[in-house]
Amino acid sequence: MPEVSDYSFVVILILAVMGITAVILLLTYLIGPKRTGAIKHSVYESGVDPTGDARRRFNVRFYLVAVLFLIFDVEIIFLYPWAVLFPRLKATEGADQQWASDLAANGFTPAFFIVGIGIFFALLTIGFIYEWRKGVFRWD
Amino acid sequence: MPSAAFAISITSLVPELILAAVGCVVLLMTQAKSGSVRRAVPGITLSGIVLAILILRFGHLLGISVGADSINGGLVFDGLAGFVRVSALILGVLIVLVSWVQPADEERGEFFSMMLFSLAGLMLVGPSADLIVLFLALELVSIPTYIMVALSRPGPRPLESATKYFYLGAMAAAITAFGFSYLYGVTGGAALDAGAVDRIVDALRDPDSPAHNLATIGLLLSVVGLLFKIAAVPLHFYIADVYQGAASPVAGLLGFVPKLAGIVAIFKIISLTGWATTEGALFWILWIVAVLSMTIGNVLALRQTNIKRMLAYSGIAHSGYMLVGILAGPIVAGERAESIMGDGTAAVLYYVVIYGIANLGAFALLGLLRVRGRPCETLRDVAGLLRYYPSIALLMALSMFTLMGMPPTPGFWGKLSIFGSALAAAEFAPALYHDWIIALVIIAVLNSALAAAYYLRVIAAVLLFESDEPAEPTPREAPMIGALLCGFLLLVFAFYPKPLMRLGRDASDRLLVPPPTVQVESTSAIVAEATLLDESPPF
Amino acid sequence: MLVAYLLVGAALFALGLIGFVTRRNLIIMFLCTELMFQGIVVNLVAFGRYPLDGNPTLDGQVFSLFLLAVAAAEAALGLALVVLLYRYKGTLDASVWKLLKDV
Repeated sequence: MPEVSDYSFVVILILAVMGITAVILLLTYLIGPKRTGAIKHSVYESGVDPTGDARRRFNVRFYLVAVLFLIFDVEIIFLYPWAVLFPRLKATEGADQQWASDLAANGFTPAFFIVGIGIFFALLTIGFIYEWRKGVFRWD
Repeated sequence: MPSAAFAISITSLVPELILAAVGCVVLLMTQAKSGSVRRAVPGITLSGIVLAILILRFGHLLGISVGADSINGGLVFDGLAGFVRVSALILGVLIVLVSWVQPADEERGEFFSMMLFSLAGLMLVGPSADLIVLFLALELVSIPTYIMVALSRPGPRPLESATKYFYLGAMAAAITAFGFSYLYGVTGGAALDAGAVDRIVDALRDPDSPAHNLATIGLLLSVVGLLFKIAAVPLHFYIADVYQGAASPVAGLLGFVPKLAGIVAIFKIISLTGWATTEGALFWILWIVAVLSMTIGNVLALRQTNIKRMLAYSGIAHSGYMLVGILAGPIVAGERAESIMGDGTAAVLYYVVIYGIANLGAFALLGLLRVRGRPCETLRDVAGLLRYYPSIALLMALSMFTLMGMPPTPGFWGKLSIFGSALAAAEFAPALYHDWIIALVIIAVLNSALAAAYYLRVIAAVLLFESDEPAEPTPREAPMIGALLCGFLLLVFAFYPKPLMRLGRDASDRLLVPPPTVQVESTSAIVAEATLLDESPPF
Repeated sequence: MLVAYLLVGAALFALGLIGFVTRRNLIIMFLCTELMFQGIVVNLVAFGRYPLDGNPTLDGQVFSLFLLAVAAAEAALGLALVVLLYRYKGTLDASVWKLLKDV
């Protein structure tokens, strides 16, 4: 079955990774020195002295930024179909050309698509201006 | 189709676009440095809505064919769309006036922009003839109302009510969308046209077809999810808390905007079945929901001394009456073409608007009154108004009489035409269902009598009782003008109900005859073709 | 093939609905509505790819894109409300909010 052999290297990679990891863990357990103490049990923060509990509350501003990110991030999905299809409007031959001229005959010319995405961006920009002037991006 | 076709559908949307654009402007005005700019927000909102009305009415003089009967991009501008747009804009003027001074100065821009977006969403529900457009329009109605509830006044109470409203609303939207996904599966496309009706009707008639169960579940879940919007029984829990927690003008808005959107969406979904509402599963669902809504709403309202909660529970009962009209359907319209009596859907549309105006009027007056600096909410608060402020007392009594359905008020015409159309539908229904429809009408009439008890308590408190500490109206002109206009419209429709009923008749004409299937390939079909051309089956 | 996808969609939706009704934590309840939306998206894409009448359309995929956008808007609003509520009571339990109720 050719399809399986196409992906066989992935399986081999997974098996190899698991095997090597197991071997390394086993070796460090067997031959590594075992000492305990206060410093050994403390939290590792890249060599810096640990400050407080990891489970403390975040500043509420993080949530605000998360909300804004959520909105703008998801709006991007409307750009993907547009970006994929727009170059094909200018096709000069084949099925794409037929498709583009059909659309243009229905009023969906390239100019229409440009104006449409422009309105979309204008709306996003209005939202952005609102947030900016609301002081959401000021961190103080 | 010629390229002019697309231009028509954009110009048809000019009123909605005006509302959206003014909404954006008002949103940015919130952050203006000068207070005078911020104080101009309600005025600009009002002028935007008035401009939209003028374009809708006189746009054809400017060459803008608003409401041309075109089929484009999932929108059909027929009588129903016209009814929804006109009533949304006229009620929009009243709502802006009533909530003129509502939220704090700094938040007024957000509040009014959300109001405009919500109205624009309502205006899009009317012409939508596509599952995607319908769902987006419904969400555009709902999401701004959650924000308006939260913004409407300070303190934790509006927050709690907004959260309850939002959570139940998100769940109901998901249920509706799940139903829509099955309907899409059965019809094989998102368009709500004659082809879709054919497929749904075929699937429902043939119990052996693979689509039968999908169509049944899809219809059921779509309608149940939409019951949230009109606050009918399985999804009514939020309404009293939301009305109590929100400021009074917002509660007035919630009695009309989501309700009309939900009713129209239910019309559109049920018309997919060819209005088979007087037999089969759909009949029993509507019957049970209507009876439970009327009875539970009225019984809960009877126990209240808080007028806002009382009006909220009575709103559930009013949704029950509207469901009686939906059950009657537009089927018998052809028999008595001149009268609204045989046309359940026209009667429901008339009733939604009348209920919306009366409810808004009552909440406008509650929002106008203050007792010891607090908003006026309980029966005790409104006692003895007649002696000190007779105009407010009489307006309150007029609103309550209309909600009650007293004979000369338009509420009576609404109930009469709903129940009359149900009786007319009973004559044409199969024998088994005939008696059940008669029983439904009897239950509805008994419920109307029950409802009179609690409306009369308010009327008696306002007109007859005495109080040492009467409520004071705040000295604001705009909300008072709004309340007066509500009362004026109620009087107009009491003695001159024909025009609104005629508009409702025009609106329900199309519900029986779905728009023809679009001959031209829809864009998405063209795109699908182009995409699938070079694709080999991946599985 | 269609049936398998529909089963997955219905299962996601049902899990979300059950979770929404039984849990009292505001964030978990919110995630449950998101789960319901994802079940719907599975349905829509499956119907678009394996339609009953054999003519694939893109309406389902378009619907699912818009559904994701609506879900994101609701997520933003829900998170904002939850943060505001948390500032008042310091807990995410929905049952501590009883300011509004029948007397």
